[in-house]
Amino acid sequence: MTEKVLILGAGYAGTVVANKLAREFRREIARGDLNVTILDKDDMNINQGGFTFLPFGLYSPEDLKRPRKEVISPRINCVFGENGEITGADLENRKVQVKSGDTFSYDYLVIATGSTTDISNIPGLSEDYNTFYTSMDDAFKLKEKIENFEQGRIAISVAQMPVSCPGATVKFAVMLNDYIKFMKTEEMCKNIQISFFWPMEPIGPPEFNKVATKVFEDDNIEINRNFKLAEVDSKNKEIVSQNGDREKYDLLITTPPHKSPQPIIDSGLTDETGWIPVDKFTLQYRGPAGNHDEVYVAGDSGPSSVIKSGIGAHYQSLVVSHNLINDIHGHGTKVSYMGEVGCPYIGAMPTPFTKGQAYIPSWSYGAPPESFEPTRLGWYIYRMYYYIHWDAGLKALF
Amino acid sequence: MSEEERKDVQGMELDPNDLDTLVDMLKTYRLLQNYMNDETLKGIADVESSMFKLLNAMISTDFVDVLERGLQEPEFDKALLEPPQLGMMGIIRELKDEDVQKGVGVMMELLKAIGKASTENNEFKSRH
Ligand SMILES: Cc1cc2nc3c(=O)[nH]c(=O)nc-3n(C[C@H](O)[C@H](O)[C@H](O)COP(=O)(O)OP(=O)(O)OC[C@H]3O[C@@H](n4cnc5c(N)ncnc54)[C@H](O)[C@@H]3O)c2cc1C
Repeated sequence: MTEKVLILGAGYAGTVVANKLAREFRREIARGDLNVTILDKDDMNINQGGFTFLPFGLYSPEDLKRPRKEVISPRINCVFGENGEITGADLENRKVQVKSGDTFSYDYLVIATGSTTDISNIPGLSEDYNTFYTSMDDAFKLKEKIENFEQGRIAISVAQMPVSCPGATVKFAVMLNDYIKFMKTEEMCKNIQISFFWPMEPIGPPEFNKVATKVFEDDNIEINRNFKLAEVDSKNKEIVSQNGDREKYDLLITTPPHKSPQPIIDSGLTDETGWIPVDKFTLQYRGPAGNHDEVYVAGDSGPSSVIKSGIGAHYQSLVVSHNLINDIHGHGTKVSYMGEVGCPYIGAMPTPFTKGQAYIPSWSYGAPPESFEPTRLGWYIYRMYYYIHWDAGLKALF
Repeated sequence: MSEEERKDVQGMELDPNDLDTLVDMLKTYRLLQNYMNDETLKGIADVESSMFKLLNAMISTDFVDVLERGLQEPEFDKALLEPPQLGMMGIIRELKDEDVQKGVGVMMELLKAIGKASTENNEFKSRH
């Protein structure tokens, strides 16, 4: 009988798991003993990490997208579009429903549906919503606004935690500052103030906070901590925090709140934090829908306690794949995810006055990042990574 | 080398020659670093991407194992030393051999797979 692995979501995590299984189980798939199917609502893989750079012209759209089938092994059964758009998951009966009305059954399930953005709980935000977070189109619209901006206060607000890649907005603020100095006249630069609004006290773990604070201070970027965005008063051009603090802006750039995709919430898979709880080591589902050893979770859909980043998704996907390999072979052993995550940091972007500098601090359960300094080679490695992402990261080579 | 000239670096004993080598490496690295910019790194990344594709192809198929073994077959070694000249009749005769038939079968599937992948690849690239 053919065993069935079903992967929900063909973004970063889902693609890595699919490619790893395709390689490991090539003989089983060829003999018809195993079927691996992956579902997604559309057929284009977009590397969201590159959005941060688009307003500064550092990547082109063609660098950041690939048809999903191009980066997934042909050994995998790909179902994209209406037939792949998940509307519900019933873990008890091992069934997943899709928009077209079809149902998929499975022996093993991998949930890798990531996160989505939702601005509905911040009144007024939709009336003045500028962001690089959601799509290439939005990033380009923001680019235009930045280019036309001549004077006043640019407020960059991270509305609430958790968001996908919490460090992305920090990097964006640093690059924006360098970009403005490069692109605008000296007179304009004097009249532009960048203010950063962060929903917590520290900006990431202690060493990250230390470097981010220093770079912001050196760059004259004003830091406002503990500013959880509650409302946008677009008429008066003011943002309002949950504590009632009001701050003026001339251009508002927002990193919106994130949540699990609605069908995942509606299927009762998430806990009170809104995210999917797992065994923190094996990444097996442990939540309101019961304990399910045959269900694994990787990437942004996972628990709120693990920061959401592509780097984390990568490590989790390797562990999930390895545990599926163990399960399918019946080895009775498990490998453990140790909480490996990372969050690239940028100290400067290259302009005639600055050299590009970056670093990728990483951490794991109970082991915060060590002290670090952004370096020039770090910039080149980080920039290069997005070009090789498709053939190294997504192909699960290492 | 006198004892005084040796330096203890994090428990590792280095003599001045080692330090010279390190300094030389660092200075040469600076040359590379100065060569790099956001345009040259794109070229390097493109080269790496192609290498990764080939690496992925190699580690993802048993064909590499088959090739590894097949290329070491003593009969193949002999053929390389003295290439047999096969005419039309010779080819027809060889086709009766079971291993030749299997080889042709595998190659035929490879041809089909390459044909299919070429069409798909053109479709993918047109959407970049
Ligand atoms: C602006 C920005 C910058 C970032 N920068 C970095 C960075 O520098 N470094 C880093 O490591 N990470 C970065 N990240 C985070 C990184 O992109 C994510 O952590 C990573 O993509 C998570 O992978 P995933 O597979 O969990 O989710 P995704 O890659 O988002 O994939 C989820 C997939 O599920 C599909 N899906 C969702 N719902 C359904 C449904 N109902 N039916 C069918 N399919 C569905 C989606 O279409 C999608 O393809 C950044 C993110 C953003 C937004």
